[in-house]
Amino acid sequence: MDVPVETLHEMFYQIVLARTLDERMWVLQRQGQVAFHISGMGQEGIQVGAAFAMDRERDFLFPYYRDHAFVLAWGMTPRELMLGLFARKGDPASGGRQMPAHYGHRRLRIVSQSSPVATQIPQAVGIALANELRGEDVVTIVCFGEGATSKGDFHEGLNFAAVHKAPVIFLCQNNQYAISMPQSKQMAIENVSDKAVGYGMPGVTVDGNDVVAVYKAVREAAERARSGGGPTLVEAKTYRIVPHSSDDDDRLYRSREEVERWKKKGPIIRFRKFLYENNLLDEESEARLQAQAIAEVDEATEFARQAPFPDLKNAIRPVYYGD
Amino acid sequence: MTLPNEDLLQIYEYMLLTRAVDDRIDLLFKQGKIEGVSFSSLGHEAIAVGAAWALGPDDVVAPLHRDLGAYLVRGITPRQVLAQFLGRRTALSRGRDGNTHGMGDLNLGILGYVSPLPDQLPLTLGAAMAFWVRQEPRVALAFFGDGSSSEGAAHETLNLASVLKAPAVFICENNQFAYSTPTKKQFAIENLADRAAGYGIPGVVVDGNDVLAVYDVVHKAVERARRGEGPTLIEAKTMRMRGHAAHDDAFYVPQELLAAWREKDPIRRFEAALRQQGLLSDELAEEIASRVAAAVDDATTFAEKSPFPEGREALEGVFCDV
Repeated sequence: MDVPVETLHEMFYQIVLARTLDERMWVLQRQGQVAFHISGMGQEGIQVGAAFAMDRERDFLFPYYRDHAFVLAWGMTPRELMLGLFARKGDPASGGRQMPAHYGHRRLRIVSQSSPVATQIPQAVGIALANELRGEDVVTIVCFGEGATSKGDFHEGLNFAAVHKAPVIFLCQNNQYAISMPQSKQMAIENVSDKAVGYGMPGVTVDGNDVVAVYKAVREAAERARSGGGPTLVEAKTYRIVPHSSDDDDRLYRSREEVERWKKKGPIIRFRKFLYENNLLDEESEARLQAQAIAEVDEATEFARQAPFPDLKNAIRPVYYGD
Repeated sequence: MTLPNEDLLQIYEYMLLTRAVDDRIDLLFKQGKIEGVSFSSLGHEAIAVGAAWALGPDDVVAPLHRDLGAYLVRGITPRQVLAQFLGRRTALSRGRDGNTHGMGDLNLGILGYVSPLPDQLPLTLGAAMAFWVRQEPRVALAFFGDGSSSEGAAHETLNLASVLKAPAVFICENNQFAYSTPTKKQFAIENLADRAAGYGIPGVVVDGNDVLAVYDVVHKAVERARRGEGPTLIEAKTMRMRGHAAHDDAFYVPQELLAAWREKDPIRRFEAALRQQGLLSDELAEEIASRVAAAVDDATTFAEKSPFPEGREALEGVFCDV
C-alpha cells in the first residue's frame, strides 16, 4: 500500500501543528492562563496516521483525552481546541462546561467521551451497529489507552462487537503508563493485541511512532470493517513522554533516562527522517511549515483568549437532548 | 494422577446424591412445594463434584446454582439443601433466600453467591488475595458460566488475578446456553479457554462430563496456584439438561442436541468405567443407591417438618452482628 506524497505532506503538517499547539497549551497552563492541560505529545504519529486512514467525511470517531492530534487531523481547528482549553462559550464539545480534552464535535461525528476511561468503547460499538442497521457505509473508530483494557467496558465492547461483526476499529494507544501504573502491573502479557484472539477478531500490534505503519494498519482494519469483515483490535505501541496531565509529577514514578530514551524515538523525529531520506522534505519547506503552525497557534490562542465565557445562567444546560 | 479406589467410589456416590437431590427438588417444585424458582444441576455433576474433590480442606470454593455437587462434597447436607429450597428456618439462609442462593457456609469454605453471577469472580479473587497477603497456602476456586464470561466482572477478575499471580482457579462451565442465548450469540470463538492467552495464564478445555478429567485439570490448577504460579482458566464443556429454571421449558433448545448429550451422561459414563475396572459390583451399586435414596427421603422429611421463619426474622442476618 503506497501512501500518496500529498498525504505524507499533509500528515507531517498535522503532526507539527498538533505538537506546536500542545506545547503552547503547556505554556498557557504553566503561566496560569488556563486551569488544566492533558497532553497527547508523543502520540501524534498514531493519531494522525489513524485519522488519515479513515474516511473523515462520514466515519465516526470516539476519541480519548489524548487525541489532540487525532481530532485536529479529523477536522477540528486549533481555535476550537483553544476554546475548549480556555473554557469559552464557543467550545464545540461542551460550550465551556466540560474539562478540556473531552473532545466532541457534532458536525464532524466526533463523540465526546466521559471521564471514566473505557466507557466510550461500548458506546462506539453501539454507534457502529446503529450505522450498520441503517445501511450506512460508515466505520467507527474508538481510541483508548492500555489502562482502559483492564476495564469491563473494554471486554464487553469487544465481545459484543465480535459477535455482531460490528464495523468498528478498536485502537489501543499503548503508551506504557496509566497515570503512574506501568504496563507490567496492568496486564500479564506483552501485547494488548493478543487479547483479540479471545474475541475472535484480528489483533495487530504496530509501532506507534511510525506514522506510515499506523496508517497502513488502520487502513486495513477500516477496509475489513467496511466490507463486512467485522472489528479489529489495533495496538499502537508508543511512550507517554509527558506527565499524565499538568497536575502530575512523573518524576515520582519513572526515571528521566527512560523518558529521554523514548523521546529520541518520537514520531516527529522518525517521520521527519523518513521524509528527508526520501527527498520529500527539505529545510526550507520544513521551516515554512513550522512558521505556518506557529502562526495558526498564535491566532487560535488570541482568538480563544478574547472569546466570551459561557453565560452563568446556562451552566446547567443543556443536560438533556433538545435543551 | 490416580485416585485411590475409595475416592472413586465416594465421587460416584456424591454424583448420585447430587442427581437424587436434584430430582427430588424438581419433584417438589412440580408439587408446588417450592416457592419462586428452582435451578437444576442435571448434567453438571461431574464438573461440580470433580472440581470440589480437587480442593484441600482449607481452600475456598464459590459454587453457583448448578454446582449442587460442590456444596455436597464440601459438607453441606441434603437436609440443609432441601430446607433451603423449601424456605425453612433450618436452612443455611434461615429461610430468607431461595434455592442455592445464600447457601454459603464459611465454616466449610463455601462462599454463597449473589444473583448477578459473575460477581462471584471478583469476590473469589478477593479471598485468594487475602490468602496471598497472609502467606497462607490456600487456594480459591470460582465457578462461572458461559454467559458470565461476557460480563466485565469476568474480565477484570481474570486480568487482575493474572497480574497478581493470585492463588485462584476459575472454572467456566460452558453448558451451551445462557438462559436462551446459545454460545454462538454469546461469543465469536470456539473455546472460552482461548481467552487465557489474553491474560497470560494457562487455559485448558476439559470434557465436563468426564469427572476424572475434571478432577485432574482442576487438581493441577489448584496445585499450581498453591505453588504461587498464579491462576488457571479452565473451560469445562457440558450441557444444561433442563431449562434455565424449573419454569422454563427450554423450547429453544433443539431436542437432538439434548439427545446427543444424554448419551454422554456423566454419571452413566463414570459408572460404566467403575464397573469395567471391577470396582463396582451390582451389589455395591445397589447398596450405594439405597443409601442415597434414604438420605434424600430423610432430607425431604426433615425439610417438610421444619418450621418456616417468622415474619419478623425477615430483617435479621443482614449485618454481621445479628
